Amino acid sequence: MEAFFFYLFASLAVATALAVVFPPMRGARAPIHSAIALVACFFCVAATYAMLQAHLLAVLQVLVYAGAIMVLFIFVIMLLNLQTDETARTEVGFVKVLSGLLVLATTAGVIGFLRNDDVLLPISKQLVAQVAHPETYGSIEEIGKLMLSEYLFAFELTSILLLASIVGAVVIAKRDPRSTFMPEALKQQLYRERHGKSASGRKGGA
Amino acid sequence: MYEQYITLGILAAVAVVTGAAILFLNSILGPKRWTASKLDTFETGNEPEGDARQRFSIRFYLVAILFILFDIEVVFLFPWAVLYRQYIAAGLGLFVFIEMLVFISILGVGLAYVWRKGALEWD
Amino acid sequence: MLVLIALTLLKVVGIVLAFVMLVATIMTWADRKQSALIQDRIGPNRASIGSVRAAGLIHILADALKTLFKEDFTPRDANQGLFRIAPFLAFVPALLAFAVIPVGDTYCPDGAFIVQNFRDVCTAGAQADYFRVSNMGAGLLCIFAIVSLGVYGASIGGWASNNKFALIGGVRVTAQMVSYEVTMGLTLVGLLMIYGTVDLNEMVRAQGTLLWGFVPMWGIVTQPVAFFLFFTAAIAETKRPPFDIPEAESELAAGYFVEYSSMRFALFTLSEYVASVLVAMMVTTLFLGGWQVPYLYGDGLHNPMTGDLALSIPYLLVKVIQIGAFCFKVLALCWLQLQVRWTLPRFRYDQLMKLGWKVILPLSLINVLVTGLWLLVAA
Repeated sequence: MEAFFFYLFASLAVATALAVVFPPMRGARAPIHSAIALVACFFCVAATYAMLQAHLLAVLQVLVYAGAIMVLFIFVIMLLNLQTDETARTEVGFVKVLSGLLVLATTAGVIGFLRNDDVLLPISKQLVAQVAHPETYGSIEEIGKLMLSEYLFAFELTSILLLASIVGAVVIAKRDPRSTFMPEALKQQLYRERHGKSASGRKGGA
Repeated sequence: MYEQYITLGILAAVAVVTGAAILFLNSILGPKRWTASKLDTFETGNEPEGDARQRFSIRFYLVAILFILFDIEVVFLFPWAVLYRQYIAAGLGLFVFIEMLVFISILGVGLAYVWRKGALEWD
Repeated sequence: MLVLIALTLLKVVGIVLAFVMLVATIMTWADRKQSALIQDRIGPNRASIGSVRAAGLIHILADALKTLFKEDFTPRDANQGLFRIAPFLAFVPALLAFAVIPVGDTYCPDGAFIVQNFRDVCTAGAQADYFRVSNMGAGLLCIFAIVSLGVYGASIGGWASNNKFALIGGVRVTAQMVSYEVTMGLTLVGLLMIYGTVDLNEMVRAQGTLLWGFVPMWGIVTQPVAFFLFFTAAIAETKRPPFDIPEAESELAAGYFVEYSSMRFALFTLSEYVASVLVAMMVTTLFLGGWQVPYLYGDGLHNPMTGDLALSIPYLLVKVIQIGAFCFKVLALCWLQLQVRWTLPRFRYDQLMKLGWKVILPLSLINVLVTGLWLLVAA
């Protein structure tokens, strides 16, 4: 039963992941189909987490990945509305071949690593042992305790990472006419758009 | 052991079946008289003009990315909040409070930065 | 396994299909009646079966039948598949969120329990969850996960319609829902600090505790600021007035579902009303003590001053009273939402964003810190 569901969700995850890379449709519709396939993939991953008794992780996988990050993806697709000619660049180039080879090499490495009994056996033993008390395992309390003790430093570092992302997002997305990161010509153009007049009057004061 | 997910799955199935049943009934009972102008894009009575898919202001994107970042912050706050009283009872209250104070203030700086830069303005 | 499935189906029919859907459809009627009251009109009263008009309640039936007999078509330029599937993406998560909300307390087999620490503790066998669909431990997070999925229906529906109004509506709805999702989550952190659990039934049980011997420790007592912030954010999340900018009829026709007709349209509107019921249920569960009736425990009413049993009530009757109390609170909050809807004018989009990011978000952060300090000092 358990094995059946594992293989079901695992194969669905692989299938949907493939659908992300090779969407069934070409052209302007491809991005949104890829995104939806990725949402489905995240659900399958969440299901496998749930089967590992990682209940909190399963919920967070849906909450953060399917419910937040993919919303951003779909949002960007909605905002950009790429035309067919902009998405049609699918010719095989040197970078694509290289990245494909790298992916294959990494996969081979991971499989080789996991086939080593020294790695996998302790993990599976641990898993079997933890199945014995599933009531608290993987719950928010257990994970919280680890987060606030053993992984405290990493936890606090996360906030700095998030802060860096906030700053990055603002710097990239917020084009302030007064910003110093911008060429003068663009600044003037933006200023004209905003105020509907020439920027020359402002130059002296700015 | 998987009771919680099975029951959730049953509810999802019921919801899908209910929706599908309603739409199925609708497809049997409703008329099918398609005309060219009925299938046109609705533009309050005018002839549809140009492509509907246009580009939007980048502000919306900024909102979405800020959402992700603060959502992750909330996710990190939840386990701490649940455990807070347990830690107080164990005499570690101040320590855990300061831990979270650091976390929140770093993100508070982020919020202040976003605020100051005017990324939350909608002019 | 079969027993589990049968029991779950029973719970699904009883809680979600019978109660939630019933309240949601009655809200469609109450909404119109309320607007009529406020605008000094009579409101819907024409539909009748024979000579029975039931104050316009027959209109619910008439509307449902009418919608069933309408034509369901997809515009030529729309993305056919996504356009058809979008109403499901709105409807299914809306219903799914009710899975973890406890309508009543857990049931002790054979009615064997003792009242201990303001809660019923079973003495014989394990307690049974008869009054909620899923006993998900991380119930609150589960609701948030499901609510966050509700965004897809509106945004994909708006995008797939290939219509200018729908696309603007879809973009607006996504930005609005994600903004208020964050604030909804953040307002509840203080509540989690006080009750120390994300299991919703445990949270309701903790709200039966008495503060200073006589004040029930409901969320609204311990977290009054969070109550207002959460209620506001949650109404904004349902995208109903006064937060209905994504579907503002005066500027966007109907917003993201402008191209939808017949039952697909009805699924969108129904899921909005269902979301209103969800808000009522969440506020009830988190802030109004859920199924709790003050001083009422498994064996009957207790005297708050002495803690002794004042009035003995049979166990089953207590359960019925508690479920009744839950339903009453939910209906009252549904009514309150209608009242808000017809009292306040629609926000402007910049005001909406400002309210979410610049008022509710900082206030709830302060609320978290104040609660933390208060708990620390109190200990």
